[in-house]
Amino acid sequence: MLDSEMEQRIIEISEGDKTALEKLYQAYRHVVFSLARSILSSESTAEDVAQEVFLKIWASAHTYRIGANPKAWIMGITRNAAIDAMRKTKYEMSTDEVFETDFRSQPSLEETVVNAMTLSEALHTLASDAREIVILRSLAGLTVSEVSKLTQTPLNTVYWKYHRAIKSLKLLIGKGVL
Amino acid sequence: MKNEELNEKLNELAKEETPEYWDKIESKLEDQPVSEETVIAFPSKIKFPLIKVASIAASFAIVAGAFFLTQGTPLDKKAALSNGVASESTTIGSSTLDKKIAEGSLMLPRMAKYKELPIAEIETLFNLKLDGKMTIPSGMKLEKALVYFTTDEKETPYLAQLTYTGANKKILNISISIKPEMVADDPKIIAQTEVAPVDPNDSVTSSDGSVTIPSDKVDPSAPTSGSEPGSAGSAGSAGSSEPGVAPDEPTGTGTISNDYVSDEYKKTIEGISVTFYTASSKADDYTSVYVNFEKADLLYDVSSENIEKTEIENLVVSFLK
Repeated sequence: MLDSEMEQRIIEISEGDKTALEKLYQAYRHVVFSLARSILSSESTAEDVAQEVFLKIWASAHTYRIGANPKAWIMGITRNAAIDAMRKTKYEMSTDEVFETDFRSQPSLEETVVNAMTLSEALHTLASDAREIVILRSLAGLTVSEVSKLTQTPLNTVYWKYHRAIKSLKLLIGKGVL
Repeated sequence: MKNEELNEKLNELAKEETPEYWDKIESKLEDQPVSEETVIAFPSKIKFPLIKVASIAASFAIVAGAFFLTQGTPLDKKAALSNGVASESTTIGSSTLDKKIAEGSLMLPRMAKYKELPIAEIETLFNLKLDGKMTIPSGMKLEKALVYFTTDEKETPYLAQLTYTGANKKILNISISIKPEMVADDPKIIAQTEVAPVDPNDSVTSSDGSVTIPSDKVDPSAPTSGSEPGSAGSAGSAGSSEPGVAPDEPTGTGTISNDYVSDEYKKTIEGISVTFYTASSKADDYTSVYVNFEKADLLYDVSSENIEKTEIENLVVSFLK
């Protein structure tokens, strides 16, 4: 969905058009969910957050400023909601903990060549900040500078982490893991 | 594999792995109000937290203003240029845009409502002595303040805008918005500029990311160096009209290093004014010609209870005519 279309949907949502919200959901549900999932260790919590994001969009579409970046706006809401949820549930999502919790039993890269990984699993082989950057950049389609601003990470760091992360992902895909 | 292909692959996988949750949203929608404006009226209906936030925002802007007005260096043009934050440039924008911005109507175009208050009322409301906290360059005075409130939703920024006018009729706008959740969660207050809508006719972004105003958008009648004392020139036009001021060349372009400018900032640049020139007849009062984009502890040197705990993330200061 183009930014202009997305903006139009948001305007329609602000006017109470539920169909517009559903269209936005269809176009962006996976991006919202993936970003939430990248921050939260629990898939069910991520889904709750994703639902909450669209409810927030519904409730606050009027606060969207025309001409602002609609994707960045939605990603900002998602990120805030996920971080709030993380605080509430006391989930500390350092990379190490991710491995220790959800993916401790994950096989090594070599071992998984024959067993395909889910995207979520593949992304969780990345550090948490890199994971978030990949989703914002590759799924949400934000520019590096937008990712930098949203995540409050220096531009060069975003560049570096993004390129390193996609290199890893390409490796997984090249080996047929993804 | 190209990055585009990877992105496509990741999108496919994400779609496949994302559960459908529309039904749950829809069921919860029944209990949700339709999006609507929630504009807090001033001053009788304002609640304490909003006063607090607004007060912080206002004092924040005031001290920022004082800082910029009185301490042109080290955050001046020279510093900005040497840092690559800004480049030598002239003017940007159109008089219409500038006027709208000055009126506040461009800030939050769809839902913005603001209350324009006389200075005495502002002082009373915020329990501030505005004039007492500022050193205003000669000929300038605080004329009015625009305080915006939209909703108390977390993602909605609050905005305080103070407007100063000088004897020469120039206006200094300082717009700072504050994310309320930052106030709640962290003693630091993150401020950011509002983003004005972009008029594609007003500017273009070149392939290297620099922002350029087409020459045909520059007022050809704009005064240039050495123009008549007191002649104001057109808003958003190139060059300084003030006596004793060495203006930038009126080339009609304004460029900012791409490294420091996000797309959102570019919109700000394009919509407001990237650069401005001295508005004072005493050029040394404040000759800064820059827009600062750096997230930095720029204002830590300013003595203020609030400022000590405050971090300016982005700030746009613009002189309008």
